[in-house]
Amino acid sequence: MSILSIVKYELRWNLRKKRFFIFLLVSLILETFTILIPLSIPQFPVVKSRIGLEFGVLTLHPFITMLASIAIVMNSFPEEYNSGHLSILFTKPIKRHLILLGKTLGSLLSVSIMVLFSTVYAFLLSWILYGAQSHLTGYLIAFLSISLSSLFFVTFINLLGILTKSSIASALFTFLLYITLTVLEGFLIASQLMGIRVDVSYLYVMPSYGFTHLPHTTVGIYTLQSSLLQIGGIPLDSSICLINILAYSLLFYILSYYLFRRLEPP
Amino acid sequence: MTIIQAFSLRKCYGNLEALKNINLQIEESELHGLVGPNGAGKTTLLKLIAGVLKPTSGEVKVLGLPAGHPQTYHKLGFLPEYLNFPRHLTGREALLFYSDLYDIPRPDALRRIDELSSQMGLEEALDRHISSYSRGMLQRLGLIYAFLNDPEVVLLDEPATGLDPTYRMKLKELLKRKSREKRTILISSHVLSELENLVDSLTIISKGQIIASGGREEVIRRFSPYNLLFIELNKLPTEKFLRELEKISGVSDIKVDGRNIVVRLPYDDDVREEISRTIYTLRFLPLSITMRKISLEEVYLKAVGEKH
Repeated sequence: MSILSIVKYELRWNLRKKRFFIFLLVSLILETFTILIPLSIPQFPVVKSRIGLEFGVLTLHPFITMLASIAIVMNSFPEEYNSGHLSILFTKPIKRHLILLGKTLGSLLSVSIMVLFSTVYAFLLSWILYGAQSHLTGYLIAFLSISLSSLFFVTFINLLGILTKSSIASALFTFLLYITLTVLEGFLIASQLMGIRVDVSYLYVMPSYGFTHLPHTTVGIYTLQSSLLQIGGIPLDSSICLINILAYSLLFYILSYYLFRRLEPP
Repeated sequence: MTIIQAFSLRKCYGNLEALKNINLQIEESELHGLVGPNGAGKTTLLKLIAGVLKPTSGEVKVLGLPAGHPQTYHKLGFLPEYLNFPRHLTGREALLFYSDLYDIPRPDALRRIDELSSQMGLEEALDRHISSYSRGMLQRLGLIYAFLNDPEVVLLDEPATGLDPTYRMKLKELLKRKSREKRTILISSHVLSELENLVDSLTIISKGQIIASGGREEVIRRFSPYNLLFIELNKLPTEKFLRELEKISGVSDIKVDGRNIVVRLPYDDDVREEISRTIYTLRFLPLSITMRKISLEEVYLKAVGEKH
């Protein structure tokens, strides 16, 4: 099974990167801080049995995962291309679409492992600090949806990597896209809050609607952010979030495949 | 059976025409040398045969199938000039990864890796990270990699780069053995002395064009149809001696430097016996008679020089 070899190869490569551990460490530290918030502000209205999920997993975690997926996956194609390793893979009896698929799945799996670690950590730390945690399926759904959200970035950065052959350029453009989408979405929400009538239907097709809100909507917990959206009169719909992520990821994947098929090594 | 065929092959990079109308045939179990100056198009030609690059026009066939056909990859070993293995893996992990891509069963892969690494003297370093390998070790790992799937066709781009004399010798032995095992090997090299007594056939390429291609002797004869004979006498040669020497069929261009004489002989016609007889008849003593065949390097310089 050649594709499994590619997945294993990509996974092993990512797990041996220093930045994987740096991001995991940063993720755990930030999670610790957010989980400690209810302790430092006793009057904060919280359900103690859900602190791990609401404060640990669903606050900064999706953002860190997005950054981590950019950092981990940024050199997946450019480095392989520039080092000439892709030339080696192209002389092996494995079709190019399987190389692309294997590397994408390997990258997604790498990010998922990081998400899994920090989700389990949030659960355990909250258990120790606040007692038994409820809504265990919420953790599982959060883990799956945060991992799936990273698919958007994994496929987009791979597309840019194949196009530009530069790790830095693809990472910067991906981050820029994230910032632009977030700011745009912020404008839409802020306009709603300020009573300015804008057409919010755009929001449903914005990729940020998918990757930002999927974890919140699937878990069914209204965080500060989702409440803000509801105040703005914009309903959160997990199926639209999911479709958004899958549609954009598929689009990026197809474009990547189109370019990858025509790629000539240096 | 023709294993590698190129017909009217052209490859352009933008406006640069790297290969122009290349026609090439390499037969089964042939050890074929590809020589030419930097930028001649050797690497491009190897990459086209390996199916890594697509030709601008023309066609390349490997084992009767178009280059890059999935079926050929199982039977092909390719060592690129700049081989960058994933540095996060150990040598063994990298080789196992490639053997997985060939669907080689794990026990077979482990056995082959052990065999080849012991031939290339890399067995002790196999479990070290590739990032810690020297240039020579990387090249040896590359050679193991190129023969990992026991390929029928092997393309080697500058395989001796970075190897010390011991491993150059081992490389020669490996190539000769593989050639005896009916493997077809195309080897590109700048170290022409390495190809000297190794290749059966030869292609000289310059500025994207083939200058000469064929059997080794045939190509050498084309660029230099003579050998040089160095004679050292016990005393200064006389006029009569030189006249007698000149009378021997095929002897030409006699040059004298004291007791040393250099004569030009036809490539195929060995008249050393007759020359020796003449020397003794005229009461001279040969202190040494040495025939020097033209080296591949001289042929190369002559061929490329003519082209330039």
